[in-house]
Amino acid sequence: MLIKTVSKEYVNELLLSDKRIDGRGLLDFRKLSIKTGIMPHAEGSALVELGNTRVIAGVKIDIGEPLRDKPDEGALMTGAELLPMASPKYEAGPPSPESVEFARVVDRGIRSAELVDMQSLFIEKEKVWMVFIDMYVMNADGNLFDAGSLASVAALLSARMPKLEGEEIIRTGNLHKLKTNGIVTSCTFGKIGDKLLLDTNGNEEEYASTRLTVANDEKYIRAMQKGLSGDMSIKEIQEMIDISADKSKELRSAIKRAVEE
Amino acid sequence: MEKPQLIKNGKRLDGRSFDQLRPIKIVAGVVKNATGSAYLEWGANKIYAAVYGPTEALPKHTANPKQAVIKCRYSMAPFSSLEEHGRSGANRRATEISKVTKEVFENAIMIEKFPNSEIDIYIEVLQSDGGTRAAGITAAGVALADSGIPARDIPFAVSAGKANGEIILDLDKLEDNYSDADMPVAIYPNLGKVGLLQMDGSLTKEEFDKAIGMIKESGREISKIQKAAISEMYE
Amino acid sequence: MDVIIPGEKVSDKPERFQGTSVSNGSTYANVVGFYDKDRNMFVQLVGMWEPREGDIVVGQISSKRSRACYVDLNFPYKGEIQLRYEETRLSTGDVIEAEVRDFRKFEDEALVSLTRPKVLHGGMLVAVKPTKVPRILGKANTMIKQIAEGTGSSLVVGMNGMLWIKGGDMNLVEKLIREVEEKAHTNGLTDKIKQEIDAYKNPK
Repeated sequence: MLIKTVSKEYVNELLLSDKRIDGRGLLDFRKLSIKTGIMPHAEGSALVELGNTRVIAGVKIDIGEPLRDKPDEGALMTGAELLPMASPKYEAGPPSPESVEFARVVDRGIRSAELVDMQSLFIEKEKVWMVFIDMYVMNADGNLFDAGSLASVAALLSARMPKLEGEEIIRTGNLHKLKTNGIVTSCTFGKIGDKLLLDTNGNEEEYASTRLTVANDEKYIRAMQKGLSGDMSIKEIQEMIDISADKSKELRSAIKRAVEE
Repeated sequence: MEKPQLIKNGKRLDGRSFDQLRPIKIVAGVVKNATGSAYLEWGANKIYAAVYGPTEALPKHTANPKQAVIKCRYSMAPFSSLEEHGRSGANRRATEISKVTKEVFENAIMIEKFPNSEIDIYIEVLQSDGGTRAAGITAAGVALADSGIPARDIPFAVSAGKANGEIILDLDKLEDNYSDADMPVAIYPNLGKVGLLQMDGSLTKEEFDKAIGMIKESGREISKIQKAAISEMYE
Repeated sequence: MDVIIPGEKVSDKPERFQGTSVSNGSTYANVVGFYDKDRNMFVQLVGMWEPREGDIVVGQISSKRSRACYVDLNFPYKGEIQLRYEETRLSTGDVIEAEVRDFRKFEDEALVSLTRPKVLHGGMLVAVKPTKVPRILGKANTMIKQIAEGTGSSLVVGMNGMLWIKGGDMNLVEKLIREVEEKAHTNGLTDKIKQEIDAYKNPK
């Protein structure tokens, strides 16, 4: 059983007057904290706490072969683990469709925004740097997408770039940073009844019929994903795109602060 | 690669004496959704442990009418090592560690009190620097105490080994890689009994006696740190 | 307060304290707690609920068959309500309060037999450590009454560590309950909670 279960009746009753079970406004994020460099063995790492949701992202950089269709670029791979310790609902075993979707949506935002400078990862013919991002959900209480995206981006922005000395990979000491451009963040909304809620917590997520994630950087929308079996109007989508553009400012500055610390 | 000299001028490479532990720090109650949990830093190891249960044993055919079933998952994050990206998913090493850890806790927990139920223990190594199975058991011991599930004792674990002819306590990654023996041991401190014992390399009977004595002695300090993590929750 | 952890000695004599067991004539802790000299007892700081006849519990109906409902009590074993004895209409998913009739452990199954179920509509469910329930209730229910009256909420406290809250400022109620849960072993808690409720009622 979960430590807290709020009835649908109560969630709906509050939403009638635009209120939420944890006292937030419809378009407020929960308390956000980002810490980088928490796992120094990894080239980059970050812990994000969004309310009671905790996600750790680790970045490793290794040598490998380029993808066949992109011979002069490095490669980027994003994985996610919904750890069984994070929730009584998660089970050990092969990746669930939920964890695969989570990893791919975060990956898409980072890839589309060209956050990692893929050309800078080229070493020589058939030899490139590969960047692995792994998101670990340590405690689940809703909105993994935004928390995971913040953790991944903060980990990439603070990652050190290993170097080659002959055949040996040098991972510590005086190193440059991984080359990146800009910051991409996401805003995920849940729809309960006809209300749109930003950053749904675990209890709200139970009752959401539809979910929309909008990832953007300063200029563009970079990735979107509609989830769950409900639907939404085009007008609602346009509204969420606008809100996401606006809210992303505070997320970008939170990442900047965490990386500079 | 040639074996590096692990001991110079009577000290180990990181400056420790032969019977000295790395610094250990434990915080209990860190995973909110779990029945009990702990976060441990042991040298450069960083490990989360959580306990869930007892709950109804599922699927039903796994239930034991005489006692609770303990399930344990030890796993290492792909970004945990200073070397290359690890491949995630179960491997033979993690499967074996999960099994022997499960057995340590089957004995520690009063499983006979909860027939037909299941208790899950999760150990996630987020950063590794040698001795993670021992550190994981030590962390899970604190998570168990935090959970309130009745237990006979709270185990601790640590390894001892041999390098350049000397018996040394608590091997780090480098020592582990090049030592002549490695022996991780879990002990129930109040019962004074051994719950996990593995060993590889070469030890004489005298060296074994010395190693096990060192492990037992270090338990005073490790158990004290485990207990302090629990006491801090009630200050 | 000297915290005792599982495996440590509580007494050199054999004692029948809850959360302990006797070995070779001495008493050892099985859960985290402390020894209260004045009352000569072991006080559990964590631990599991031990069902007793007459205990009020809160839970959620997880399945229904023709003759019985099964209730998730946040406990290793399900609660069972035999429908032929009960008047109340019950459905899967309902949150209920009920009374323990007995706790039966059989060879192949264990069940907490429940009676007098009452459906609790709306509101929210909060899980706390079962050992903290007596403190949340307070002496002669003073603590829980104070919280309910001060916040205008209805509360049902299950001995199994499940609480149902409805009405008033439920977030405040949850916050106060968590505070009592965390600081259950400290002195002056009733006054501290009273001050917080007063501050909520009369914001400066």
